Amino acid sequence: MMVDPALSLPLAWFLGGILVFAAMHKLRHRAEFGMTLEGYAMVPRSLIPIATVLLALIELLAAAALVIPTMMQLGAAMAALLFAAYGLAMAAAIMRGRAGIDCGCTFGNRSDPLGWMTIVRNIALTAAAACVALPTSRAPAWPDIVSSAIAGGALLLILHSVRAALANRERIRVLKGAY
Amino acid sequence: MLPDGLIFSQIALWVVVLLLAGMNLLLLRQVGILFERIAPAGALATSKVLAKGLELPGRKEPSLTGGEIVIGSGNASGKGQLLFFASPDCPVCKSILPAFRSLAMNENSSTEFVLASAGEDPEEHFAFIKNEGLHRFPYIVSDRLGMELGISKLPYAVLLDASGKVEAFGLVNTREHLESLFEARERGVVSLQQFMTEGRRA
Repeated sequence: MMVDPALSLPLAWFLGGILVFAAMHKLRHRAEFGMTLEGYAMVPRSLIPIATVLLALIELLAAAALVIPTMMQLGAAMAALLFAAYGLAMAAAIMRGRAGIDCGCTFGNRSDPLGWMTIVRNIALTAAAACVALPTSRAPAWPDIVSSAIAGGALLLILHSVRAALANRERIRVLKGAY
Repeated sequence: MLPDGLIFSQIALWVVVLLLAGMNLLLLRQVGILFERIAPAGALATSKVLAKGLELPGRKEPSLTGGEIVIGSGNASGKGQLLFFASPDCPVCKSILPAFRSLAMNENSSTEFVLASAGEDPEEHFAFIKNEGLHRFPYIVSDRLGMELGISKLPYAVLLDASGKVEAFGLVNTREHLESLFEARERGVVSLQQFMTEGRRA
């Protein structure tokens, strides 16, 4: 199966952007993410600081590879594995009755409770990354690369917009409860 | 190969899409800020000493409006108490007093309204009581009470239940702030701010 670069390139930039945001958030709020990891109860407590930095580094590496045209497929495979691993960790946590812990998958300040919706989101991310990992049907030309980078940026902004809209929905819910 | 014009118009289109997406995000953020602003304003609960459920040990204080009053646990009325910390030389306190009086009428059955002030000159307090028509309320003057409760700003209010436990407290700059203490009591939170943040997390 082959994919046209018009599809895979914007997705590559988009996923790269997500990974950069995720890594930055982990590095900037190390203590916070450490607590999230503790909630999952999968990493021994003494290794949590190392695991946090390690995950962030892997994410940055995958992101860098994703936006280098010759390494795009490799980066996409890494990203797919990462998202799939996160998804599995979440599923395992839910099965063990830990639904509702901070899922650690939003790089905003709001903590998201872990639930099946977060897993659906991770499946979608994994599928997108897998799509980018497939070989492209033609070599990308320069207009492809330019418009893909902009399109990836637009997708990221739309993702943040969806987040903002969800946060607003939450605010409306709270307001309704307050009156 | 596509003609150059199409390539450029394609890129231009993506730039427009990017700008639109950015605008969209900006608008949603602003909607979010608006929501924060129209949220009910509650009393600002700032105290290093007070906490919900903390029991105030009973203390007897003379009232400038006559008699003595027991504050905190062991008050005989069987009602909750609202301690309103005000002082004659604080202009904001005066602007809240009408709200204090009307609330005292409405909540009279459940709560005893007490004014707590501080300062040396008794004449000042008597003039304050006379000018503001506070004869109906117990009026105590104690520098220690405010200090012990960690109250640094006026006007401040502390709501106690019948057994002298703290139910809600906070800086009360407006009528809404004062009313929010009773609202907070009904909802079992120490302040409406806490209610808002917890509701968001739930």
